[in-house]
Amino acid sequence: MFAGITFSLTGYQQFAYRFGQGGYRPDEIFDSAWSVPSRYLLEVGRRMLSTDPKAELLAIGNPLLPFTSAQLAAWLPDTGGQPAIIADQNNFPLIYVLPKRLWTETERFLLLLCCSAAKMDQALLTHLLGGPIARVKVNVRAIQAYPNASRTGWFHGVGRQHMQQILSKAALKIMERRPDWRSLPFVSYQPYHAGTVLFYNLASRAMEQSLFDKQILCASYADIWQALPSRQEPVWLDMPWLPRDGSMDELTYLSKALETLGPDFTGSHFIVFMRYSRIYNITPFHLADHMKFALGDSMLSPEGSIHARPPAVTGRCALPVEPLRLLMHLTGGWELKSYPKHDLLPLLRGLQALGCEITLIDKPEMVEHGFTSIKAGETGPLTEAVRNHHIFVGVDSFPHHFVRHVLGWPTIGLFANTKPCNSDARHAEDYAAVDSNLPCNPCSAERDCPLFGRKDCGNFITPDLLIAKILGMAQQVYGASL
Amino acid sequence: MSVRVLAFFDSRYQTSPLGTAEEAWRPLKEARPVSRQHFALDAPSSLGMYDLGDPQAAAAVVASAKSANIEGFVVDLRWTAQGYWTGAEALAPLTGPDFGLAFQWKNGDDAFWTAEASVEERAARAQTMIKAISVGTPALIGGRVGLMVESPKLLQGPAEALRLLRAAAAEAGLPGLYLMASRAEDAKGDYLKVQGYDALVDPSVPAWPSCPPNSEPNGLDYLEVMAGLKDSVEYTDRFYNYMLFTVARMINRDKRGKVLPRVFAAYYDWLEKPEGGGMHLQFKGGGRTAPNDPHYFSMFVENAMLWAQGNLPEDEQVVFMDSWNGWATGSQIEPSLLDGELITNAARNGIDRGRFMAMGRASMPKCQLDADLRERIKLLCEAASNL
Repeated sequence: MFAGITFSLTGYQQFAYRFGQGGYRPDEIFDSAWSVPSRYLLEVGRRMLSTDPKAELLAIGNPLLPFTSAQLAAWLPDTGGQPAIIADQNNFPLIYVLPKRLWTETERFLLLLCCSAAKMDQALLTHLLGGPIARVKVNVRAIQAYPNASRTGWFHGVGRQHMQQILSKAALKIMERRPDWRSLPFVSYQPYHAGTVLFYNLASRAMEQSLFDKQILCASYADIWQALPSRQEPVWLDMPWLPRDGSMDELTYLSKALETLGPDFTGSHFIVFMRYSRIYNITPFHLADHMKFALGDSMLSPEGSIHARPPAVTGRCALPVEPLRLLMHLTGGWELKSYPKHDLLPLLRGLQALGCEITLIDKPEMVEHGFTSIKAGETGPLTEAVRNHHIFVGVDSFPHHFVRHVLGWPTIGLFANTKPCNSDARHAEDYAAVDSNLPCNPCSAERDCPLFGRKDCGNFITPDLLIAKILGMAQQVYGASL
Repeated sequence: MSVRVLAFFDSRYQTSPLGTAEEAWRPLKEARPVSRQHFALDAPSSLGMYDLGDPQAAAAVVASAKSANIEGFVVDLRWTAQGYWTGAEALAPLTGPDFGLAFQWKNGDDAFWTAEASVEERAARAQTMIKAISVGTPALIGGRVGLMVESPKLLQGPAEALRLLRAAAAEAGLPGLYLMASRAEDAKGDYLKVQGYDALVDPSVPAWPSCPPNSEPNGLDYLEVMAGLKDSVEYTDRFYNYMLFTVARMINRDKRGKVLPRVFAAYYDWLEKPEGGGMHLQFKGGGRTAPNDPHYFSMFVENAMLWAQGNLPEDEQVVFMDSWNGWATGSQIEPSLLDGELITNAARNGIDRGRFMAMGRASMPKCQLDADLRERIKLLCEAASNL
């Protein structure tokens, strides 16, 4: 929920928006997990100005807070028509009162506001406006400890806000030290993981313009970037990507990343946080579209979404269609994302009995059952393996995303406890994301099913249905008759 | 055409052969739980305890439903002392291309069709029934007027009854009938192939407990209740975990045949069971027990919509929401005093998401494998799983 008021010479207008769920109504704003609160401050201002272009001053409730128009008006003091930050007694910013020119002249600098420390944002705005801006404390109930997950979907609470404050502080230092700061590049901080890098680059390539000039990413993803370069210049971070075992927290990783990038870099680039700030799987949007919004696209209609566009690339296997060759990646990043063990052999033997040749990625334990297992950790070997198979079948993991979005290969995506629409592709005769549509999807659990306590997820489709999907696709794409 | 969501609607909140609006609301006003384990019944907020006979009140109800993305109501067709009655006339002026009506025949209360009768008598009765549903713009399913049979097992001579209804509809100039039986599955094809239904619809919550209840009272429970040591509802009523209940309804759904999904936000019917024996769905999570959870309900809605899209012919992709105003069972979607707009918004958000996701899948052709091959695959997998 967002609220704002525009002030012009002729009066004022009140605005209210909410996070969109796919309806794309005029009062809805795209819900993007990669976007920081300041990205929403920017967007709310854009939307208000598009309705009231004569506005000179904009009052916008802090996007971290669920303001209604009435509440915003009730808490907004008279600032005498001057820009100001309205804060609670603990200096948590409540309302930003900002001039229109921040949107028309220096829009992307708004991204540097942390939206959780009024003093910090006051200092940044003082530089941006070229003069002091008031910070007005109002006597309202203090916001205090922000929850780990808010009712409007903000995620990781104070921890995330701390990380954004670190980057805001770094930006402030640049402004204090460099008179040429307005000409310095903006760089996104989104160094990991493989799928995210891929979605970032997909989003970037679908945009003519972005708020960013460069992207920070782990050097180990160079092969992904080369296979699908973005429009942003890569800044290689010479660090392994964040382990998924929790052995290092994201804040420590950020500190080390800034240290690794070095003072020359951090003193000459405005870095904007772009890891998750919001819960992504409560939305129906693809993560590449989440990224598009974070990069600056307002995402005002479904036409711009990845689900509405045909794939940029189409690939087909040149080998004879008999035998039908299948490349399968059935092990996800965590246990519940992997195809259930008890269904694995019925699936593979069923396909084998129908004359299919199967190659498995990272399934050495299946060799004793007569199946071939290969390694395809890098995009090169993966691409080579894909070209030798007619159809790729993969769980919700990087190989699946790469094969479909970069190689355009006929693909069946297997989803279980993650929400298909967040990371699938536009469905077509050569692409299908399949699951059993259980109402517990997505549960977000990693190790055990929260409902039944099992190690596997009941939302995968059963072997017989999957085989029917595979054969159906083979028939439609390759004309295979089985 | 995207997947549509139609909501069951209780049209008795108006003057009718069944009473007045005031009388229809009275049980809700006077209801008092008789156990601490009974969830409180809710009451309307913004729409009030309306009288559908007031065109403005009816318009507000339909506008509210439309804003929640509901594309039509399923109105009960009842036999009364004055003939068939739906109450749909109050809604008819508000219907159109974006909001239509379908009907649920409460045939369990229609004794005529449970007994033997001549074909002529049945044909005449079918004509009066069709006349009663020829009101307003229909929410077409498969290009026809949707009519759900609530208790198909009670229908005497079902194949003939359905044939007579279709004939009466054709005679009345309707575009045909899309007949649905409230049944969970049709393993032998009795309903679709033999009797001639077009589809099944998931039965209502009390008609199909899709998983075992949490409470399985034993003899000791009985004695403790009788000795006044335990709340009697623990013995008389059945309590179900909402999540398990809904997952059980969707699990292996593809194998149940052509069954249109029914979704619901909550259900507890102690008001209708004053002597005990009520059925209660409970949502447990975050250390609390509640009658509903808006987020989870919206996931139920969107997944049911995607299932419908993937498994039903294009113009038959309908999900039934139970219900818009089932206040007596806590299943209402309408804005309420206790929930405000939480459930209404959850319905709207779930449908928004379902529609958006369906858009990304719209261009996928349906798999055209022949039945023999599908059967062969099934047998192969069964054999392989036994190895």
